Amino acid sequence: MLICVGVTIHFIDEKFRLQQELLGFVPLTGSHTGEYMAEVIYDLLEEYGIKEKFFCITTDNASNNIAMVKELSKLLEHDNISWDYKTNHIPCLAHIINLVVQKFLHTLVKDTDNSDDLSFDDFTAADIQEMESAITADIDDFDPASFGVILGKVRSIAKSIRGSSLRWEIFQQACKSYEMEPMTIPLDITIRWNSAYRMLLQALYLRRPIHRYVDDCIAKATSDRLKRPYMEMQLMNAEWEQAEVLLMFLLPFKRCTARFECNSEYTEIDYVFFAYNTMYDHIDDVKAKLESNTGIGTLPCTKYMLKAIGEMEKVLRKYYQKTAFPTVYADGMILNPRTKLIIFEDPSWADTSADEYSNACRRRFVEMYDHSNTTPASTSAASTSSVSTSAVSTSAAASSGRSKRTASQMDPEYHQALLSRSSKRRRNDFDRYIEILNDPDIPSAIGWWRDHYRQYPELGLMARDVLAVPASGCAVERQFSISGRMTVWQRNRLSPRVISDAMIFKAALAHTRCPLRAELDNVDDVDQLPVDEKEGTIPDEWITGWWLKQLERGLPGKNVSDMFGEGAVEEDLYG
Amino acid sequence: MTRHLLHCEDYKEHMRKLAGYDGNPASSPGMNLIDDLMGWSSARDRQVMSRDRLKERILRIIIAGNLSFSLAENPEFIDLLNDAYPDCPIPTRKTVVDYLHAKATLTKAELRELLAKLDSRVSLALDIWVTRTGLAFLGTTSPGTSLLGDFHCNVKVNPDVADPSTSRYNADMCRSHNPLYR
Repeated sequence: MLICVGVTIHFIDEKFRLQQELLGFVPLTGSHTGEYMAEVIYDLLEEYGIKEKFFCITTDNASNNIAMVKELSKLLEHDNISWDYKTNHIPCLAHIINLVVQKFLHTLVKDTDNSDDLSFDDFTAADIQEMESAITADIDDFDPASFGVILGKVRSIAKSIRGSSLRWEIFQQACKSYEMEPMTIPLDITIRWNSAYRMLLQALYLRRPIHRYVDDCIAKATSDRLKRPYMEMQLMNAEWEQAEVLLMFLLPFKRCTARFECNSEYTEIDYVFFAYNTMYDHIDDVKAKLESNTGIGTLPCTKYMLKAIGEMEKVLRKYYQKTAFPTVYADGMILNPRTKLIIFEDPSWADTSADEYSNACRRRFVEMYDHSNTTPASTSAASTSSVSTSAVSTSAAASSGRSKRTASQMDPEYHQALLSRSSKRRRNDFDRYIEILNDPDIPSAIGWWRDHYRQYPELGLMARDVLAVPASGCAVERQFSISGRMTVWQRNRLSPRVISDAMIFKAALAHTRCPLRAELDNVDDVDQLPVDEKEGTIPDEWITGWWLKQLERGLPGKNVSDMFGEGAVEEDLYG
Repeated sequence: MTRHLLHCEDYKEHMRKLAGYDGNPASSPGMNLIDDLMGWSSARDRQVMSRDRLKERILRIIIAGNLSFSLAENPEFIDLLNDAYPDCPIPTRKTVVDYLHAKATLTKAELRELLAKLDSRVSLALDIWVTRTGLAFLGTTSPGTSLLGDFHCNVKVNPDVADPSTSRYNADMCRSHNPLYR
């Protein structure tokens, strides 16, 4: 078993292009403690000569990463480099969302999932009779806590379809009978909640073919023993309904995750607060509906949903509280001309006032980027300037003795207007930038800065630093997908050095548009089922129609209802 | 003219230099001598396939396609290269791997140079990755020593096997780590 630490570097170059490179793919030996990893990172920083330029580091929330940043801070301190790990360590938001939703799912699916491993054991005719009666029973008899059973049934169907080429043929026929593109159902993976979402969505889309497939399999089975597993797979209407509720609840989290996973073009650091806001709003909305005793509040799963949401909220709060330390979240949003202070000015934002965020950002700009030694910008600055200018001119006049009347005495109004404009001209980049109204139609913050950095050269430098900070570690995960394809078990003699160098060279190849470049599919999805996974595309029209139908039924989704509006689906999530 | 060039030592020497020829007698300039001499356009304008260039192309194919380095020594592949570039020496697997190390060093140096010129700050993202197969390096480890330098292979020794360096040990480990055997 080989353990490597993958490190990517992110920066915005002088032409305002976001650059993401693989900095190192370093094999680790022995236990990967925080101290050891800090040394690895320190060596990389030294090797590339970027200790002084080092800004933020994005990792997941593993305890050794926390120890690593603390140790790294000490190592840099020995070189007289001040690097505060509290403000410069960015927890990966994609990992946080995963933990939050996993908590929800684990709480919800706590009842034992027995249908996962359907066996072909012998059953008596009485068992079959009991099963048939259960399937046709009144839905009031249905166990409302059985989200685990639903997931287990869908999982069994997915495995069954891919379990033999004959069954795959039966399912293909079922799809074709409904004029649908035949596709398999992706299996869920324990560590990624996204996979459960994908599995459920695909199953819902294929609901009619699934029913036909199960019916056909039962019809083709020659004995009761063979019929039993298929009968266990059958999903009742109440179960499909619960699956829909679950999917509707998870959709905003899926959208948030998708946004932070696709960060190869944009780091999304300026959208972190929006993401938290969206998730909190959605949770509040669903909770209100569940507690209302109308609509979804009447569903049998209500109390279980409420309990699971309560648990996930605790996890979300825990990580949200940690956003108080890194300054790049607020700075990134302020330096995005699309958003600026808009979320902080919202009445629902109770944490800190917009002025406090703005002043803190300005202070950081003045301390680190502003080299013009300007006077503070405000009306008081103008009056101070006026006073000092008057004082200077008075003393100059006194010393020269040429004139007894100053310009302000001769024409005070005109003089004041000139002074005001003069002080405005002397105000720093931040003061001039913050005055402009935010424009929601700006497609890209980095693009805007590319066009406007000449007007705000020093603030532009700050924007380059801040907007380059990755909000999630997905860039590294993508590298791991590549390395996973490289180190398949047939190539078990690759040495760590060859793997490391091959990864570096492969990353360089990616810039040359090599036609043979390997696909970056998720290698974790590879399994050993006889029929290969056949990924299909669920038509957008179907998703839109399904979503709207759920909204009409009163299911939660108000806060993301605009995501299926005009234009880009992903862009509309944060409004 | 062609006949002359085929036997002209000065011309051959010139083409060897162009192709980065390293003195191997098996190496000689490209076949279409007139085209090479005149530098004609279109298909004739192709680059001369030198030993280094061929090495680079093979490395790129292997890395981009996640192929085994043994491809470089595959008889069919060697035949293909011999047909396409009969005068160019075919690099061995070891040569290709050595070239990979050189290219990785060069890539790092280029990035270092780029970062030295950068006038902004940089941010990092990192994570730990573990190979999915316990089979990695199985055949190259034995108790007390490692043939892989400082790499420490975290493979548990099967207590049922007296001598972990035997083929039986390897087979047992294969079965315990390979998902196909589970």
